[in-house]
Amino acid sequence: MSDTDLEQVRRELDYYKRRVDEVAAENMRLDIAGSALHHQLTQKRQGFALLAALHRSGAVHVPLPDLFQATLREIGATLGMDRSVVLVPTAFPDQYQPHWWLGFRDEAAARFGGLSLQFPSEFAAGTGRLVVNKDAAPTPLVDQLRASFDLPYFICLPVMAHGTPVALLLSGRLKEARPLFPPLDQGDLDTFEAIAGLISASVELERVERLRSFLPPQLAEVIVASGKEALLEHHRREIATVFCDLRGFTAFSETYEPEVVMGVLQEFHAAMGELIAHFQGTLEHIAGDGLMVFFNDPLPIEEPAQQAVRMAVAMRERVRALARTLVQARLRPGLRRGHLPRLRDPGQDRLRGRISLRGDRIGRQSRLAPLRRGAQRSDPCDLARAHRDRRPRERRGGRHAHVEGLPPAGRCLQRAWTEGRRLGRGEPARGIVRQVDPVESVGRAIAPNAAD
Amino acid sequence: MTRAGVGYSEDPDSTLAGSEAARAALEDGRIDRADLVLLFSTEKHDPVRLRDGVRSVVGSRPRLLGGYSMGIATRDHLGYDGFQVGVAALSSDSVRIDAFIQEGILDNEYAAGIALGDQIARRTFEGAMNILLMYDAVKRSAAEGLALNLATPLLAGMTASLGTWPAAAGLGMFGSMAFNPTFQWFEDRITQHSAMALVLSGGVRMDTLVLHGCRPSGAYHTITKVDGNAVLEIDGRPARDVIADLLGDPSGWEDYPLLVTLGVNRGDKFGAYREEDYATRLVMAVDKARGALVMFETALTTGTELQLMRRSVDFAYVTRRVADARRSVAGRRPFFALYIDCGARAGAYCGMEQEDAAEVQRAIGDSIPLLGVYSGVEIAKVGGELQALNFTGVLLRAERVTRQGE
Repeated sequence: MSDTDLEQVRRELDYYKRRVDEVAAENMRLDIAGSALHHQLTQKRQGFALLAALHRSGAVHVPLPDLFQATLREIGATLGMDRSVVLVPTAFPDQYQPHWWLGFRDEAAARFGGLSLQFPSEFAAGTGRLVVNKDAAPTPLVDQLRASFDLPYFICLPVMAHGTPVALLLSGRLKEARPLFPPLDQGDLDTFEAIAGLISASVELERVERLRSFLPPQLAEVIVASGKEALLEHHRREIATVFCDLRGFTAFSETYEPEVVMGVLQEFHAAMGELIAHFQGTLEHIAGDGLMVFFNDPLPIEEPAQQAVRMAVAMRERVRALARTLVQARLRPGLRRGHLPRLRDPGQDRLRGRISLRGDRIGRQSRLAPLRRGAQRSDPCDLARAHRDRRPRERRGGRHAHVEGLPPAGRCLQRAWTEGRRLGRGEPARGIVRQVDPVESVGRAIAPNAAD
Repeated sequence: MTRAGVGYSEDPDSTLAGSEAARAALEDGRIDRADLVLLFSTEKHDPVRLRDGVRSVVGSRPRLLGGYSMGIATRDHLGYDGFQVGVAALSSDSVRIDAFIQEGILDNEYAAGIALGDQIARRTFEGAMNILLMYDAVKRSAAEGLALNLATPLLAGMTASLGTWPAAAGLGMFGSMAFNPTFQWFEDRITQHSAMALVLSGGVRMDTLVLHGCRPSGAYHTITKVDGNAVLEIDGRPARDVIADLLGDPSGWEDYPLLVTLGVNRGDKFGAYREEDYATRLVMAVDKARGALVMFETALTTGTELQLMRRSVDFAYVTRRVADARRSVAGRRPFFALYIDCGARAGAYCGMEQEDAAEVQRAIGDSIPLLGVYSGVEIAKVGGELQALNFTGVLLRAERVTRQGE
């Protein structure tokens, strides 16, 4: 082989070596990019799954603490975040403290008890955002958060509801390394915005449900939609109150089997509920056959007294008509066995489907629970207690201790008042004037004054 | 009677996860009283609470060893990057269980290896030893950069103490592909930077099957200068420059060089590809100041020729090899399988929809309790020599044997 040939072979060899390396490198680049894309795609898929899970959680009214804790778990499991914290507002403006967290050892979390962090007012306004990656400029707040949570890279944003922050969500990673752990960026922030939005929606939904427990649904939705918290603030306003019950109901309930009594009450409640909604009354209290409805609060109504009278008249007409059918259909003597009936599961109870009085399922259940158990007399205090016990834990506490000693009607009004307006103190309604057959109670009352 | 069972949990509550996985393991193996518990979990779990959760079920009696893993596989579950926990429980009146630990490997892996090997060598066992080596793979991590504890000097130190190796396999433990700091469990201790050896002897025999997943795809290049595990020069040029010429934009690989895979062919240089002739080496970090590639191991020396390797998990191959291995042990009585799988082989990290651990699940079937753990480094015998491997799957099967050997 000549030198020229050898040189040619050598050149060919170099050429093919280069080409092989180029192809190998190209393959490796593609593989690296493919791995990174696949990893990110997996996380995105999981992110969507997370959002779907949160959406489902919102649809079934998961309590806020459970929702936040579930969110932290999902973030940790699916978004590749190493540590996450939910900070809740303290009593001081713009100050937050860790309330739930995930990814911290017990010894690290032990420090959170005394930790309070001051955030810019933008967070309370809902516009504050932090996306802290390797390129992020250090600020005193970023440095403090990094040090507090030993977390170099993170996202922090508020979870808003009704224009105020319910919490701040902070979540991040210990490492930033392309291509598998790229810097946190707008895409990650978008994911967290969606998470925060879903939590907010869930909070709104929960609030509507809570308001519905003692307000007409349309009123609850108006309040939530308008964000007019002022409707629920302390105030003094003239209201008109209607109290009604069925004359002779006690004797009737002692005579007939509980099933019969329940049937009558179902018909009665359904009919009265329609009228209360129609006349835009606010159902304050229900106990067996007794109802208390007031007008001009919290939604203002022109001529509330006249509206109350109109409703009372309509109620009377409806009950008269109802009484005839009830007597024909139900009020026939039956065997008396002397034992309590086994009633249906609350979820299947016809009462829930028929009743049109205000209140969510829990509220209705609570109010009617003594009746379902066969009790034929209902004590407003017991009903109030039953209702109170169903409320979220954070609403319990000493707020109700001061109502001891108030007359029953006052306690019940106090319950509604404190729940709806977050007040600590109220007064019993005054000015309920008289009771008229069969449904005739129109009066005026001064709404409770929250001020001591 | 020797029984084994495997349990799994994804409960984010570490205590509940530990108890759930332990309970499932005991039920799976129909074990009333365990003698040994292997515990692995991702780094998302609190090590104290997880251990306590396991202990609340198995009691204080059984030996307990384990550490972090990026993910877990069992016969019925496979997951990683979440809250996965895997527990294997063993009960036996014929298998002798010995456990050893040597801490402080981050300071000197070789010395730690000697010390650990000495502990084992001083002990007398019942018949042949079977060693499962587990060590903390992460030396330093988080924002300041990645550094790993090296298996090669650890193994060299143990070899110096033990002389020859019995049946052995092992793993470098890590809790996520972010290589955050890890913890290990040894009895009731929770440690870091430790190497542990579980030695089974008596009525047990351990077989291993090595599953690779890389093929050479580039031309040969020669290492011309090294310093420990730092490859300083390739073909007479700074090693970083050589790789950068090939791979281009450093931002695509320098931050996370674990995806850069190099291979050393110990067989016929120009012969057909033979898997068993290749050792795969991952680049752990880039030393920008020295222009060097920092490798997982110190196995690359001056004069070594290497090639770029293409990662490729051949699923049909995995299935075939496992099935072959299963047939080869027909008539024996395997009671437990441990699959040590490189974390980089997980589908989300190697760019594949399939999981090679799922292939192992299918190939193993329902007959043997299977615990799969994702590792940073895999240890197995290749060519008769115990080696630290990368991007490899190691399937370990424990079989019952009589005192006579079968």
